[in-house]
Amino acid sequence: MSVEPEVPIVQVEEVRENPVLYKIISSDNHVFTISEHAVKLSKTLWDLITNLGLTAENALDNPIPVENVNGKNMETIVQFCERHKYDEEEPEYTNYIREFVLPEWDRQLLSIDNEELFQLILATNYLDIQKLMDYCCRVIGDMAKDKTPEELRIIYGIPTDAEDDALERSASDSPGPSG
Amino acid sequence: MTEIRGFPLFSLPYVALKYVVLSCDIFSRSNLSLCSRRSCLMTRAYKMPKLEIQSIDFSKNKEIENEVSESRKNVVVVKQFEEENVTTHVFNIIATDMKEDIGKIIQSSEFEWEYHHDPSVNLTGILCNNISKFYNIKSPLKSFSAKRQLNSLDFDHSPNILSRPEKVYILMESVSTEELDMVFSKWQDMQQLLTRAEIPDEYDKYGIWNAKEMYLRYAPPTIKGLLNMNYERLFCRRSKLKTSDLNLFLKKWLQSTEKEESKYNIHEIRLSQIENDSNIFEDLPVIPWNPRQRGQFFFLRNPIQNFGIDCSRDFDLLRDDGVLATVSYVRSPHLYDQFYFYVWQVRGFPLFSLPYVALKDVVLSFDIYSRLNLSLCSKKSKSIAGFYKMPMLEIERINFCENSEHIVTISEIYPSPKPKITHTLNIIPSNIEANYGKITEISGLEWKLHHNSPINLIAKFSEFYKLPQSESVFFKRDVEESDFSEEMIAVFNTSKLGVQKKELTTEELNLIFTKLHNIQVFSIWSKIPEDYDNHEIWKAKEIWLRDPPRTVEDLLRMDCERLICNRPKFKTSDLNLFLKKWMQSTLKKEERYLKREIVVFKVVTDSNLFEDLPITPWNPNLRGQYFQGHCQYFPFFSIDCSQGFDLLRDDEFDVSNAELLAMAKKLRQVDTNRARPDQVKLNYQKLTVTREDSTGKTFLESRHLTFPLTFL
Repeated sequence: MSVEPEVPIVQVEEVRENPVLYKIISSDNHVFTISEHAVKLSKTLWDLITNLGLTAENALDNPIPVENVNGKNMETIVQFCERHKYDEEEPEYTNYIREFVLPEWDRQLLSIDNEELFQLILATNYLDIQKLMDYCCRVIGDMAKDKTPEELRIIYGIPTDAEDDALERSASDSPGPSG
Repeated sequence: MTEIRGFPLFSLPYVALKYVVLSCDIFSRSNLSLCSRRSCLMTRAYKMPKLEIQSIDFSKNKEIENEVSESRKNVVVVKQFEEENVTTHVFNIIATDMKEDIGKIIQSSEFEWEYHHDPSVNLTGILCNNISKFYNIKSPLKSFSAKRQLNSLDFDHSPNILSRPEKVYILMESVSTEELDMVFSKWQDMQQLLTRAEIPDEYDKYGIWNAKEMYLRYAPPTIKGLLNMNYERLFCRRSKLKTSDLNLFLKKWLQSTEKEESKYNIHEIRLSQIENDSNIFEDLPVIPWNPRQRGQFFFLRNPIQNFGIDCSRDFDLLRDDGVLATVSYVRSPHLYDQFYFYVWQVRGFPLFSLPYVALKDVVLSFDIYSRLNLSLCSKKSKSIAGFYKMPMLEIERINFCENSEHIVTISEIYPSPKPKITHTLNIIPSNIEANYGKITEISGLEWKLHHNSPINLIAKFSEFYKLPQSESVFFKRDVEESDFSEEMIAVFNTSKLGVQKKELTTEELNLIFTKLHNIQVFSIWSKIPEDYDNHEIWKAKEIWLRDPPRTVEDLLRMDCERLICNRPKFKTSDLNLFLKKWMQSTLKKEERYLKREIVVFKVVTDSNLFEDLPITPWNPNLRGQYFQGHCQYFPFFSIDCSQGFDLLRDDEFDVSNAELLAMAKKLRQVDTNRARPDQVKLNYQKLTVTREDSTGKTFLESRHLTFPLTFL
């Protein structure tokens, strides 16, 4: 059964020298087109494409279903990949990911609420997009800047020791799966 | 009759025309553009300045005049940005009934003009319209203020830009319902609203009030206003509200939900002058602070305010949709009652629910202080913060300053060739609990951190990052016992200690030398008490003194390898005595260091230094020509001692047999080639046979010759 695009969210302007486009269907049946260079940023998708043997001729006729990612996150992911598809491969940071400067465009893209950001990270992890993962994690790490431990506890929803202990107690008191 | 001919502007050569247009002031240029389509093209053809309408003030022309139309004076401030230069243009637009004045333009200074106009025309609107249209001004008006009565004419021709002022100040003492309607129907997107006037009792269109922050001198007379206005923060200095009204407000808030169409949701309300007529919490499901639900402090962070409010003693209200608010009602005997309402907005990011890879990346993206703060949240957070690769840090220096500040220099070390990064951390004592652990970047790699116990924080820092010592510790304030507590491993294990303050007490000196046992370099730039005589406990490889000790005997009492005294004190006769004492002295067993170098500067000559001393000139058979030294400032240096005189001390060689046997045992233990018990056998002729018979004898003989045979 072919899925018709309900909301064509992203229109990709493909470069002349590489007209290969792929179709991706999100869990809520939104269809996205993404260029070959952009899709290569996702290790999961690119592995899938190569394993399925999709070529320039049959790529658009064989949309790739991605069950674990909804349309909203997929839109962000496609935007990100298209933006960074021609980026030069950066030398891997040797120590800490705070070594790079987060570009303003990406900071704007990732200015979303906590729940969305969390879901985006899960999606990024699933699709294995290293650069987006680094950027998302950097945004989360930056939340801690200039904050006291008291503030961090709230910002990251970190339970207090007493709460952790209570959770542990209730988990050990509750009957196991066998009842 | 002479015909007046205009200047043929457009016939000018290109370059000249360009300069003419660029030399026009901003208003003339926009006026010129209005002459014709061609003039519009010409004026736009050259570089356009970047403009911003900064403010529009509706005020009176003369303060003493009544509120009549002809007293209207509107001040428009336009800023022009050219690279780093900012020019401020001021247009005073004055409505006048005097016909001879109408149309007059007076330039009162280089960038200030007065425009006199017919009161029936809204020249302000026209001017702003023209300027914003011609110069394509997109940024919103920064501020609007009204200091006089408003009328509908004021808002005619209002361009789009005027409909979006960031800040609105209504500064009249009284305001009518019509004026409020006029203002709030025009402006819907304010960041800040400030009013001085009391809101009429009959006013009921609060639904159109829309501003992120509202500062009202008078609160709305009924809770309708509080409930219907759209705002994030509301501050009112005066109020007609009673506690019964606020009780009702809280009940209504509990029944409400966050509306999607609302631009803002309530974050904070502060009202003053509340009349107490009943229990504000009556019939409300208030709950005391539960640390699991919210933090102790409600934080206000914006460019003006930056602090946390302690809400641990206040009561909370939990709405059905999960929104939590804290209510605080403060009664002060001689002041007005205050009502505070804080809505907790932060819904935590579920950090610990992240996938492993992401959690690792997040922790590794933290700066060193945020990572420490994360570790201080809970036991679990501590183990997570310390689980991933830790940065390589070194505490280079801890300065204990006079004003109770602590300055800590920390280096982050990277693998070569990346150079190390050195941070300077100023730990400032603070009494405000909400600020404990708050760190701000002052500049580059200099940070400011507030804490109630800076010492405690340093201890936690060194414990978390496993930093066993600070390379140097410097006191500019009194030395206290708590500075050397067990937690302070970084101070405890320091190898360089310095003191620079007016005077050191006997207690402080005793404290230092009884607590610290591993000082390599100790420098004192402070006065030592005149009666101090406890130099026996001084133990450091290198001692630098500003003031020499009381007597020359003290020079011998200190246990050190190098001793440098900077200020004048001793005469040659004193040092002669010192040399004689040194000749009589011997190496003590409890001393760790052998004195190698004593330097005394600024010696006064009063007698022959070598009087009655058995000095000998340099004998190359006894010692070399150069004395090799090294200290913290000059790693290696040589001093030519060929011209100096020598003194040979007759040290006693007092060693017991038991000590020599113990030494032999030790030597045998460290000998990797020693024979094991089964490799040495005694035959009936009492000759020993070892694994290597030829060398074994020699080895044994030599042992026997050296130790047991000679001394036993």
